Amino acid sequence: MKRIRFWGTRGSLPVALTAAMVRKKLVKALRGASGRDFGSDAEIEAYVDGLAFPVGGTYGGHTSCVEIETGGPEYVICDLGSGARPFGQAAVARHGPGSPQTYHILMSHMHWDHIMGLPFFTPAYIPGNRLRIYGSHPRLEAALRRQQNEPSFPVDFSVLRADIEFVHLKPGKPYDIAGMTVTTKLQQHTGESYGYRFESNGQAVVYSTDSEHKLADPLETEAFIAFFRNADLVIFDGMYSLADAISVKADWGHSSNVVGVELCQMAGVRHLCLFHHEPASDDDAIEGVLKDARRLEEITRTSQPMKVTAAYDGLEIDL
Amino acid sequence: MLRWRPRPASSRAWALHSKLAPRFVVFSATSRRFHPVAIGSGTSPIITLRRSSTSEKRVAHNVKISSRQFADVVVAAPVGRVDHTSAGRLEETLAPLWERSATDKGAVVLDFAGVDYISSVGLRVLMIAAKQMRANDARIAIAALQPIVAEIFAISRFDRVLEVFPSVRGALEQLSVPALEAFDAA
Repeated sequence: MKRIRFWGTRGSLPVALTAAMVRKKLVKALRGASGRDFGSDAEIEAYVDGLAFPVGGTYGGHTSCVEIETGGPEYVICDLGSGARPFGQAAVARHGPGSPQTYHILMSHMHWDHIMGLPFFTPAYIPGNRLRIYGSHPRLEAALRRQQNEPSFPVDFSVLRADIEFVHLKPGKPYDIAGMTVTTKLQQHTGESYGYRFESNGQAVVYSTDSEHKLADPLETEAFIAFFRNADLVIFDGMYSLADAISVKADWGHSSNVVGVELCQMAGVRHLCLFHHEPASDDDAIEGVLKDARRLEEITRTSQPMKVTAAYDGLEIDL
Repeated sequence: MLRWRPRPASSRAWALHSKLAPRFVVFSATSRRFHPVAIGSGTSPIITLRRSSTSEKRVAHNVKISSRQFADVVVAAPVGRVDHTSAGRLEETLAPLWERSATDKGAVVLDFAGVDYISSVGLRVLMIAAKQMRANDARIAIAALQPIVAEIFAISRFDRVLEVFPSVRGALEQLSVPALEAFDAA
């Protein structure tokens, strides 16, 4: 594994920056530039690069789609949220429609925000492309076909011209996919979701989204610690605050930045990446979640520091 | 300002007046766990609250808890780390207190001055207690957080869903005049 690239990081529903949000960022940026003299575009760009991320950037609004760059010729992605559309466009732009590719697509579960990108996934319409869609969910194929049925979508699944194959993965059993050893784990989420552990050349990456951690069962906690054990990167559902996750949003199937830090610390993880951001959160709010998680890691650290980041659409993490 | 200090190890008993009894948590700490004890009959039970050296129990390898009654409020004081290894026992130990307080419309104050760390599992225990007590029009408050624990409360947003006070006295001031008077007189 060489790199992780995030195409969609938002939970539940795609969102977009509003005009008011853009204006707020501009006002902050211009306020910071007051009194400065920019002699060139390079100086302006340097100033913009130095802005705090919520001012000079955005976490983005596409739903879950994460690419694992293996170093091999085949594509590997986790989930088909709305982020699958820009991923597909980029892949087609890179190779052209006349150059068939193989796409390994690993599905966490079949909720709408994780499948809605398939009808807009251009490679699926191109003959010669090969899509292998993996998952442990029993209704994997049915859910993807159903969302393109009338009257929900005008283009039926049968119109997809790529060679599409569905592969069921038994939880806990290791599989060889695109040169990696891949294991899935059942997670607590309405309708079932599955986490993925990818291992290759001594590296390990875990994709664990849409997973609630009840904290009441020590054996369940131990099982997740084992699943995360010594991972180089854990992509973790940090959608809610801990207080919300175990009170008003209990049983909603999601977790918090606090539990992410705790589980990853206990598992000896090197890098925790918060993911599946609450759609109601603006960039400042997500930045606050990240700062809180970093501070918690700092004050509860008992061994080596753990890196903590928050995923955004377009983020690349080199392994 | 008066602050409660643990009693000497010698046995001590408090007899509580019957008219206050319905609002009290009553327990006996004669074994590994606190057990409710209610002695009396009819609508005016005579409640005996016993407290002895055994009331300070080691509930896990890294947390201890003691408790004391001030009028209609129980002040419980865990000491140590409340994490995934100790939260279960903490819940077992505190549950009779808040269950009874909820029933009697009383209050529980958790004196956290001796707690140097609390994990999500420990915070969950507090949430369970708060839900149960609120459902019964009873109150639970947390007091005297150490700076690190106060940060954990803020990061987890528990400072927004639980009543948190700088001191036990400050909590009692808000919860109960009789309890505050009893605390100041102690």
